[in-house]
This record gives sequence, structure tokens and C-alpha cells, in this order.
Amino acid sequence: MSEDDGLRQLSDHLLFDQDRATVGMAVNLAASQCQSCNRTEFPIRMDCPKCGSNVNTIMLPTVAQVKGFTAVNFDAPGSQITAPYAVILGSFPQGVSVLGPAPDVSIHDLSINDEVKTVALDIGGRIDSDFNSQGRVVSGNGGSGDIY
Amino acid sequence: MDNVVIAGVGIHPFGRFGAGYRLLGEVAMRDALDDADMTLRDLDMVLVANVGAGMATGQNVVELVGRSGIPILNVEAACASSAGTLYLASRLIENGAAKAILCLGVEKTPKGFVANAGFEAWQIASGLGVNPVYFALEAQQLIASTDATIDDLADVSVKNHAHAVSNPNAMYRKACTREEVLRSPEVCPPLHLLMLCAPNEGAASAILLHRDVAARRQIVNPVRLNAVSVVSRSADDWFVPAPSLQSDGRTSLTWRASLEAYEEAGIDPTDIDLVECQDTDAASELLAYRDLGLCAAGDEAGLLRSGTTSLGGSMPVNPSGGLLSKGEPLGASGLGQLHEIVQQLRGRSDLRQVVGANCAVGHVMGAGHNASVLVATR
Repeated sequence: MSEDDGLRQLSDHLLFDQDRATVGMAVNLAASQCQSCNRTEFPIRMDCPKCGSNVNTIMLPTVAQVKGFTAVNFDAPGSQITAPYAVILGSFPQGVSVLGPAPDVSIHDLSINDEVKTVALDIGGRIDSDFNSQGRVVSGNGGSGDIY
Repeated sequence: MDNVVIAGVGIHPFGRFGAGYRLLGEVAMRDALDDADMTLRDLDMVLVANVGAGMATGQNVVELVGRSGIPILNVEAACASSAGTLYLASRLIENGAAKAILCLGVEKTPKGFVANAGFEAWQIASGLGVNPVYFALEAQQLIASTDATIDDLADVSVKNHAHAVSNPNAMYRKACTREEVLRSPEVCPPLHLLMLCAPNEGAASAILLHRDVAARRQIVNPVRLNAVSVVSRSADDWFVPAPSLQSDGRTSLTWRASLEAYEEAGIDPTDIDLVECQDTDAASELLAYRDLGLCAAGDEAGLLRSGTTSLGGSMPVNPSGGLLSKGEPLGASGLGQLHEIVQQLRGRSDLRQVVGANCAVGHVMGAGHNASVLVATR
């Protein structure tokens, strides 16, 4: 896989309008909800991994509840985010919890059950999502301006 | 499983070396053949566990030992790769499809974070392709939901490093204190550097025989392999590299693997004399206490504090020093555990010998959602 192919995949799991996305705007993650057992899975998939039934694509709300958090204090191979940065496990009301980077958040300001929102983040010139504490100013991480 | 015995084990110490994987593997393979008093021509098959070396890894190692023309197959299941070889070999022998199989694990894992344990490109670029993130979140949950503390996490590392002092095959053989662990850099809070195992290099090997062959070879009172289970992800498991999990109703790969193995071996946790478990990080060892049935949920830290799992206790865990002290050559770690287990059951573990060891359990977890538990007895 070329680097470009890899970066393009960054946005494959996001169904928001990436032409109009700007760094820091609230975005909805796309997920799959089972037509039979109602289970929600992220990212979207072809069918339910538990019962095998068909699924519908839904948009998760932009607000999640902090279920867990940590930080990455040393640079990770291939990461477009420079350490240190926080990682949040955000729980959505549909019953699925999603891992997301939170480069503008200090874990010292986080508590379990805090509310965070999913916002667009520029990663290596592409838009992805991250978590930010709700109401906090989103700074983004600059980026190349090659946003889509 | 009634028919599988372990005729020999071999190892290349774990650490970092100038030699390539071929030489590391050759050392462990020849060591096992010598231990079993066998040659390559006595084998029906060689199964080789490796994650990172690339194409025909096993063939390239066995080439250095000889050319007998037997099947050589490579097995990859991340950190459970060794377990994959043992699972396949034991079933082939138990069911009469083979009589003698050598399992080899060999690896040269680079230093630092393991690069890409099955993550998608967007996870890696987003800074989420970091295995200790998963371990840290589990550790945080353990501390939040039980009486375990950060000191307990440090003490797992202290215990295992103390065990490794007398293990010539471990990379780190220096005892450490709780304060030293807590002073080491935080990698992914609450996990400090000395609470995490170091990916490294090494090789380990075991020769499995049908018991009839072992009897013909006059192997007296051999170690028996009573069970090897391997399970993969079910709907509500969560491990590296899954980007999400169900918020409620988590299940445990290790729990299922242990139930299968204990049933196959006909044992329960009270029969276990020692355990080698996947202490990729300190919290993982405490979680293994629960998921292997060594204690009730919530009693993980209490079991550690009681001394039960230390050498001298009634059920030492990781008497080898575990991955925290040995380091983790990904494809070789499970067979490294088995090397320790066999030597313990033979009573040949010198200063770290578990007195009266008759029943031992090995446990590994691998990225991509693999878990394995084995039971060996004497």
C-alpha cells in the first residue's frame, strides 16, 4: 500500500461531508446498527458481527461520554500526531464506545463520565475526527491546508 | 488430550543480538533436538511461528539444521503464534496424523512500540496504532473497578523482575523496587515503562511426540501436554487492534480459552502449581489472574499481595520473570513459556524452581484477538 493509499483510508470511515469539513467543526461518525438485534458497531460494516443480520448506517451523535482515557507520551510509528497526546474512549448512547485521539486535551483535565464531542481534525493534510472536551476551543493541529 | 508428550525443549535466550533470525532459530531448534536425543530425520513435520521475518521463515531456519524433506509450515497469530504451532501439532499427534512434530518460535522484534499490530492506516495515522493504549485503558478500568492500585501494578513488575534474576534466558535480570518502577517514564498512563514488556529477539522450540513413540524411545516419565486451546474474537471481546467496543457486556478471550483448556485437561484452577501468563504489561497479569480462574473478580490485587503468585507462594505466576523481564519476541514468546514450564515440571529450574510442580498452565494473547491456554503435567 502506498502512503497515499494509506492516507486516503483515513477518511473512509467518516461519512460526513468532507468537502465542507473544517478543522474543529463537530462531526458525526458513521456506524452500523443491526436491523434485528439493534447492536451498533463502529466503523460501518456489511452485517452484524453478532447475529449476522442486515444493518443500517446511522450517524452517531457528536457528543460522547468519557469511558476511559490515557495518553501516548512517546511518538508512535506512523502517527501523524506528535506525542504527547491524549486518547479517549468515548461512549455513545447507542452502546458503542470508540477510541479517538485528543491532541488538544490534557488527561489531567479529564474525568470518567465527562462529555466530549467529536470534531474534525487535520491529520497529515486529511480530515479525520478526534475528541475534544465540549465547549473547549478547538485549535486543530495546523496541517497543510490540503483538506478534503 | 491423552497421547501427546513433550520430548524436548530448546531456547535461544531472549534479548537483542547481532545475529539474524536464522541463527537464533537454529540454536533453539538444535537445543530441542539435543534435549530429546533426536535428529531432524526423526520428525514428521516442523511448524514455525514468526510474525515479522517475511516469506519462508521456517524453511530458512530448518535449512541450517538439515534437509530431510518433511513438511515445514509457518504459523502466524501475532503474539499467540507459538500457541498456534502447539495447537496444530498437538491435534495432529492426538488424532494419529503425525507422530513427531517440532514447534519453533523465532523473532527479531525491533525496539519500541510494535509497528502495526494489524491496525488500519487511519488508526496508525491518527495516533491510535499503539498497543499500550489498550493495555492502559484496561489498567485504568481495573483500578476503577477493584481495589487494585498503581502500587499493585508496580509490584507485579517488582515480582517478575525478582523472579528473572536467576533466569539465564531473560533479557533483564536485575531486581527493581516499586519506587524505581514508578519513577520510570509514563508511556501510557497509568502504565510506566517498567510496567511494560520490551519487544525483543529470541527463539524457543519444543518437540511433541505421540506417547507410543516416546515409550519406544524410552523417554521415562515425560511431561505431558494435556490441552492446548486457541480462541479468536467473539462478538463482545475487545483487544488490539479493534477501534471500538461494546460499552456494556464485555467478554474475555482468556476466560473462554481457559475454560476450554481446563475441560480438555480435566483440571480446575485449584490443581495448578504454576502459571506462565501474558504479562505484556503489569495490569494484564492481574487480569489474567481473574480470567484464568485463579481468583474471583475483584480479588486480583489481593492475590498478588498475598504472595501466592510469587516464588515461594502456593501458585507462582511467571516464575521465569515473565515477558516483563524476558522481553517479548512476538512469535517465540509462547514456546518460551513452554520451555520454562517443562523445565519446572522436570525440576530443573534451579533457584527459581517451584517445589512440587506437577501441573502448569501457559497463557498468551495476540493482536487480532487470539488467546491460548495450555496445560502440561508430570
